[in-house]
Amino acid sequence: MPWVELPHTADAGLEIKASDAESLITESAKALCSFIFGEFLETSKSQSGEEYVVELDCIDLLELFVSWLNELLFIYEVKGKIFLPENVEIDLQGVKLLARGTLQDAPRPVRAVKAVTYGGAEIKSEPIWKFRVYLDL
Amino acid sequence: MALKRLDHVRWMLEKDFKAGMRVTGLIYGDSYIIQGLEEEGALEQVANVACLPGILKHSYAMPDIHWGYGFPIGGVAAFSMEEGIISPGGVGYDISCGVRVMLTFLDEDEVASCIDELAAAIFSKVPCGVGSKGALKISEAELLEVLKQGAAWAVKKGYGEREDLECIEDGGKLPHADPSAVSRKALERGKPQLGTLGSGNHFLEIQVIDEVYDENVARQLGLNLGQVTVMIHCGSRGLGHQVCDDYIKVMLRAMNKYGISVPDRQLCCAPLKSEEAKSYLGAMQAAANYGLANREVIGQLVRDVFSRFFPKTDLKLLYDVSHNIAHIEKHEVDGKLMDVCVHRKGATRAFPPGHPSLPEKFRQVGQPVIIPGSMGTESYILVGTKRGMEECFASTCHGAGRVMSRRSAMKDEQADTVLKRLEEKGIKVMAEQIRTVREEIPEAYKDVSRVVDVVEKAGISRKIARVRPLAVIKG
Repeated sequence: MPWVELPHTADAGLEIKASDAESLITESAKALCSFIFGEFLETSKSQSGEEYVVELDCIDLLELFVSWLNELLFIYEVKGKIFLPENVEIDLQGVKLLARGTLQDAPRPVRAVKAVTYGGAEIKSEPIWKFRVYLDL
Repeated sequence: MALKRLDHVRWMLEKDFKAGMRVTGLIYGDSYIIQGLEEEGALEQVANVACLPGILKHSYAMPDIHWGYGFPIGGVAAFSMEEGIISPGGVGYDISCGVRVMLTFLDEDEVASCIDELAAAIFSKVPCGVGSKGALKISEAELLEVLKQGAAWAVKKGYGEREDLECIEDGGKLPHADPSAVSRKALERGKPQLGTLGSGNHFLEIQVIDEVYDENVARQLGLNLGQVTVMIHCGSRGLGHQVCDDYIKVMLRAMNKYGISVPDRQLCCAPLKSEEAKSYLGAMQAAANYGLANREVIGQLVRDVFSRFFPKTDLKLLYDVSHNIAHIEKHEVDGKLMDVCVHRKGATRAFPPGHPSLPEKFRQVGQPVIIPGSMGTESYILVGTKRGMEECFASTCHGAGRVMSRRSAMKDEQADTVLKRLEEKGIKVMAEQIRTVREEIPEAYKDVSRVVDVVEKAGISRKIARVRPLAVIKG
């Protein structure tokens, strides 16, 4: 599993690893969805859904990764859907993200996440890409 | 030990704890509360807050302190309007998360005979749980009115009583709310959620007053031993979360513009005199008004259920107070009365008797303070004091404060064991998610009685009554 749950007194953290920035975006989405919905992503790959695009323009990579997960929370809360990214492009110099994918019906969640925070958040690219983030539950 | 003991309930975090601290930390706690603080990140967070520009007197932590984001939970900090800042991380994601107590004119025996049915009826009437949608269908124009008018909007629409408004902090409406500063995303999140409890540590309890500490003040507040009460704990739902997230982005950019650096990005902020701060204050007050309206609507839903079971009784609001909020208030600093911006993140305002901001009803006794305990334990009603006003910007604790992670709590006890144990104590528990019951076991929190004893011993607020739960409804 490329992600682990980190302990927090009131809430929870996630630490996600991947070989490159694009994979880290995809794995972060999977980690958040698995945290909220359990094993949903593993069983939903075959579903077809409405096409959807997420675009972000940020000041640095940490903001980009935190914003990405907050965008997924927004989509779920407003549309009742999970966004599954299929094609991810990151402009590391301009700090921009373009993610194309589909929206899938969300199953019943097992946990609530209010927000993805910057508290204790960290992004590293060496020796592998690693994103640590804490969730407000 | 990084903390220097000042007396039996006060501890100082010296400025040499961390480079950049502008003031010392002042932490309220007994040895039970202080023990273990150093292992988690909360002390570091007290120190980080002490590094913020324009902070006055101390970076405070109430005895329910625990590791949060940016500010610790239980954190209080006041900032100069001239040199100081405002930080969305000092308010938190759940803007105007707060608590209210409603008083019935029933005693325990009258309610005991139908407690299961009553709890089930409230559980079915008040939407709760993850992503729950409200009982109200409102248009966007109405939502904008909610953001401007707060609880007054709910009263105008028949979800509440006019007399409620003077029993809500700020009269149920923060006056400088600016709905135009609230993003479309926040509006989209908030529109379907008005009148919902949410999940996590939010709850609704039917309780009974089982101890009165000050009969005179209790009588003035309408509290009697054996009286049944209702407590509601919730906030501004997705709308508040989105406002916080939106303005963290604004503040990250503002810090570059104003040359501010902070030790934790969650503390990002802007000078109080800046346009960014004005915009955040307008949006935060709008979100707070949503939170106040949300609790008012839920209060009316509870009234509707009670009236079906007890047609001759009505529920009167004792008080409603937010514990995640920033207020501009007048305080004395270095002998001068001045406007300051007080951030309370998991802390409660507690104005003393005689404070001009209090309505006539509470002027003599002081601002009521509501301290919910953990699931299945007692909660407390307190009032503010002069010492709290002078020492810590009229602030006190907001709850028990967690000591165990949700993950550890999940491992500690199975849900059915928790339910059985609480049922043996005469407490009915209903939850939308059974996982919540396991995560919220009483052992996951500090002993609320010890927390409340600390603020009383410190003299920063005063115990008036204790309530014991009869039924708990969780998201």
